[in-house]
Amino acid sequence: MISTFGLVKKLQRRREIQKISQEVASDPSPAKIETLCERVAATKGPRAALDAVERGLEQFPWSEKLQVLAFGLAKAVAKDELEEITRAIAESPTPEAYGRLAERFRQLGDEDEAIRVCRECAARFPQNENAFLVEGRLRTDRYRNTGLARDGVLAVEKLERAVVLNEDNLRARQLLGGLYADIGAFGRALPHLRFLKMHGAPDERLQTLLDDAEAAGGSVESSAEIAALFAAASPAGSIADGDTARSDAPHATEPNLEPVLRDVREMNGVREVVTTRRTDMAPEDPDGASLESVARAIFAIASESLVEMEMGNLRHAQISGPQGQLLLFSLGSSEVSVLTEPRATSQDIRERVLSASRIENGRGANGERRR
Amino acid sequence: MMKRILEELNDKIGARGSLVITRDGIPIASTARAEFDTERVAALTQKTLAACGAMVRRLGHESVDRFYLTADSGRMIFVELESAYLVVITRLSADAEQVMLEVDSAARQIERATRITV
Repeated sequence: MISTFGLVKKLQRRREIQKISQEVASDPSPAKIETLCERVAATKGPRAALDAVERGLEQFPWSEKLQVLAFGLAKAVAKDELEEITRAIAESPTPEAYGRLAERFRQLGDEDEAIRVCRECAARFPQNENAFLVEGRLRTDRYRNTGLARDGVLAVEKLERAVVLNEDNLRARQLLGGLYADIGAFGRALPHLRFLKMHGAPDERLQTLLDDAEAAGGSVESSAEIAALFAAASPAGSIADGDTARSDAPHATEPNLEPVLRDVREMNGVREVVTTRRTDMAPEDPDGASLESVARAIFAIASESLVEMEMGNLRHAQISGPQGQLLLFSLGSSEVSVLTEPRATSQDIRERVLSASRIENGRGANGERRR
Repeated sequence: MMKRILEELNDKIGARGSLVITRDGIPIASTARAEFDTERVAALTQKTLAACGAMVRRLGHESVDRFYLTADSGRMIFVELESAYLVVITRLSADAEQVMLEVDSAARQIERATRITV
């Protein structure tokens, strides 16, 4: 009896879907498509509904209603698939499965988990570009959303790696071309844009970028210049917001910081200033009493705690006591540590250090962008 | 009493949470938003302060009065009280100077309150 009732219900729903589908076909509108998707989701599940809403978005790409619906359905689909992919990886890990898993986490808005999956994949399959591409995309999105220089630097680093591993990866080249052009690194953008022009589909925006890059000319920017350009383009200057993971990028900020750090050393109450390369490696002398080894250990301890408390990455730390103050700064790929007398004005020191890369990395004294 | 001081502090600076913990990392009082896991924050705070305290002692700094951490999504401020720590978590956009004044004031009030009740 129950199964007959269920069958009748199912048939009714199917007829209803057919009816709405016909209405959508004859006189489409976002509202009708939305109704159709809701019915499809209830009967065939979120995957089928997502297909339907994506077809709807082809007709009404600017419909906010459909975009919201697509986002919600994509999340539901991603959640369903998550468990299945995790199981598949446990049984037989492949870079493609890792890529799918990271992508699902990204769709669910869990960027940190997506990045962790990318890293695990890169460690297991260092010759496969998939993980680098997914992390590059994630960092690109994050850079575009927040303007944080560190994400921009890491995005190009991962995407370049993807292109080294597979020079035909058009998606990686497209992202690289766009990012480099955005910050004015046309020397770097040019080869990617030319490659896309030769091998990709015709694209009006690509042609505009290519024209701009060819008109700008100039030599290929060094990695340090790229870091400086991202910092200059970032509203937060070059203050690092990235993770503490070891980066292969060159030590970009250190040479630019040097003049300012010289000033900091001269400031009242400053005992010692050291700059170190940002790294997740343990200090060379973990038991040492040097400022460098103590600062690196504190960076590591504090960073770990902040991540565990879901506060994100460490930018700045200050420890004060009757014997003095220790100020730690995370700047691009550098860590700056300042040891002071108890009464030194930490605010002046902090402002001086934080202003360092903003002045040196592409902005003149009046704040104008240098080219 | 302590809870009221923390509530007032949170209101004044729009803190996401504040708590007083013993040196062993046991929460004595806390006022925090629902997303906060007080026990976890207390345990991590104790671990962080103990480890960082041991590190700065190598530089000849025998004690730590205050410890600030600025992270991507907020600030954490740790103030040493007579026999406990005050921990405050604020938004990144909060006015740092005002936050410190209010945190100092709350720390003094807690110390006074503790002295009276002990």
